[in-house]
Amino acid sequence: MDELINAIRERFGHAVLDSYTRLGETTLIVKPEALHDLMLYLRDSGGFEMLTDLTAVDWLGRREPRFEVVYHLHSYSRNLRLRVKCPCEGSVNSVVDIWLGAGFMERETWEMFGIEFKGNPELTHILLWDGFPGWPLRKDFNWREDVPLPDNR
Amino acid sequence: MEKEILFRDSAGVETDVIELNMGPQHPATHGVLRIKLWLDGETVVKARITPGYLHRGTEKIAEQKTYHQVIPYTDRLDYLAPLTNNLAYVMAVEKLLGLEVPERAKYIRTLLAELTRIESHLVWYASHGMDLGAWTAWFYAFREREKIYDLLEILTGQRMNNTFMRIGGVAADLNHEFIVGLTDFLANFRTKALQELHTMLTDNIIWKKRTQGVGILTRDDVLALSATGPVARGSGLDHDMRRDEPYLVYDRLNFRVPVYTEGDSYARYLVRMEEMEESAKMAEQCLAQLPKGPVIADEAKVIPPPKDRVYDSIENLIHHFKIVSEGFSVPEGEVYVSIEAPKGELGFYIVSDGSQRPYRMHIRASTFINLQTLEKMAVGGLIADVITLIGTLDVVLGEVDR
Repeated sequence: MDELINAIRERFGHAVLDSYTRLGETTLIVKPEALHDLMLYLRDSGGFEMLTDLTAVDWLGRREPRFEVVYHLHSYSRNLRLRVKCPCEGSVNSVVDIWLGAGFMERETWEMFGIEFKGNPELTHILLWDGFPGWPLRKDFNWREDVPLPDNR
Repeated sequence: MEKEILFRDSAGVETDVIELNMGPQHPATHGVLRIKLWLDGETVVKARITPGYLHRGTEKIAEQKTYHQVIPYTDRLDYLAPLTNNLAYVMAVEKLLGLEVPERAKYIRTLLAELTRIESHLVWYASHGMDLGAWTAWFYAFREREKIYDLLEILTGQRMNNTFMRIGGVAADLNHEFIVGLTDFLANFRTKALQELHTMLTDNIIWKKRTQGVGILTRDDVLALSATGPVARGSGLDHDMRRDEPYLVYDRLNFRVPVYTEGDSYARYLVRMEEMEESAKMAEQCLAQLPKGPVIADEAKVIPPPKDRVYDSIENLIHHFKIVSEGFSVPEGEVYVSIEAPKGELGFYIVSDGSQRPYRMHIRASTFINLQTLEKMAVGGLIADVITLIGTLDVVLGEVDR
């Protein structure tokens, strides 16, 4: 794992903001500009064949930039897992062309946080109904009042 | 709606593509799954899945609850395997806390996780069979499932939504009645009941014709579409987290991981059937190896004291009151903990800001992500085979929609 992190740091230079291992989980933090290239590199040269999970965290008022998109990758050939985090202001490049399975996960993250995934051809509602107002998993979503009832459908 | 594609059928006649809604109230969609199909005659041209009819916002609710209060919500995700959901969640919190679980509790957890796997696979067997017309299979599988529910009722007090796992261990020790009942059940299940289930479907010619070659997924499809669990192992992806990334006591148990390379619905059927047998073996080994000792960790800041001691000691009363009313603080950090749930990889990603409530909790729901494969598998097949695909993916809408 250390070799891989060093190779990535050498290859992507300042685009890698940080990397650490805590509680046995290795994390890479990258700039949004380099995200797509890094993911492609991790799949093709790093052996991370599968995107296990994709989600986001809203750090409203606590960190800048506000959002963090979190990817969990899994390498079956090397039996390794890696977390990649990408701090962003609400827009990152889609990885759906690298892993088709990112489709549902990006749609869910988009509708819950309002984070745009550039290059995803189908950013539509998946768990909520079409036209749902607001982004429910954002910290400034007022869940006591903001949730409207769906009309009869 | 404007006509998207104009087709010429085999006789050369121009036909329209028909749009058809399957669900959300279709009896074979295992709940409230809606699939929009585009059909050329009986052949599926395109399929689009619309889940969300059971969305309850579990991830948002968890942000308002203390860590203990979240446990009952996890039961209601995959409600056919509530104990494995509990398990994944409490393991994530324990990892953040750095809490070590007693040996006996680990064995009880493993035992219950495997019992839950059998229970979940029995429902899959029953409903998959019934969807394809094998009504008898339903009754045989549900007879066995009822026995498991009776056992769980003896142990946890409830048939479904058990909420038996606690942060630091389990809620209670195994009682004599449960152990005797479980031993009988496992012996009968392995020698008799499982053979009956095999007799009904495994060599059944109708069953084979409905499942063999239907819904083929290659190993590359599985990797690209993030499918896990029996779906992946039916397509030749030889990975089982119990063997390859062992947690609890799986490294001390002997078991085999069934893998098939055909990638069709029949291969996934065989994987699950063999998994049931392996799970029964594992449960027997857990009972045989069960060590003595406490079933919950001794950590007064996290675990409430036993109820009978609350009444005669002021310290215990204070601890109990504090933990129940305001919860306990969890160190700042983030973890992703996943386990091999009956339906695939179930993961919990928890971000803590040092307070008593999760700052963010994300559930990596196995069936939600496995469901994406249906859009691929359905294309080019018959509409009747879509029913096979829903069954073979073993979807539970409580987990898909969260």
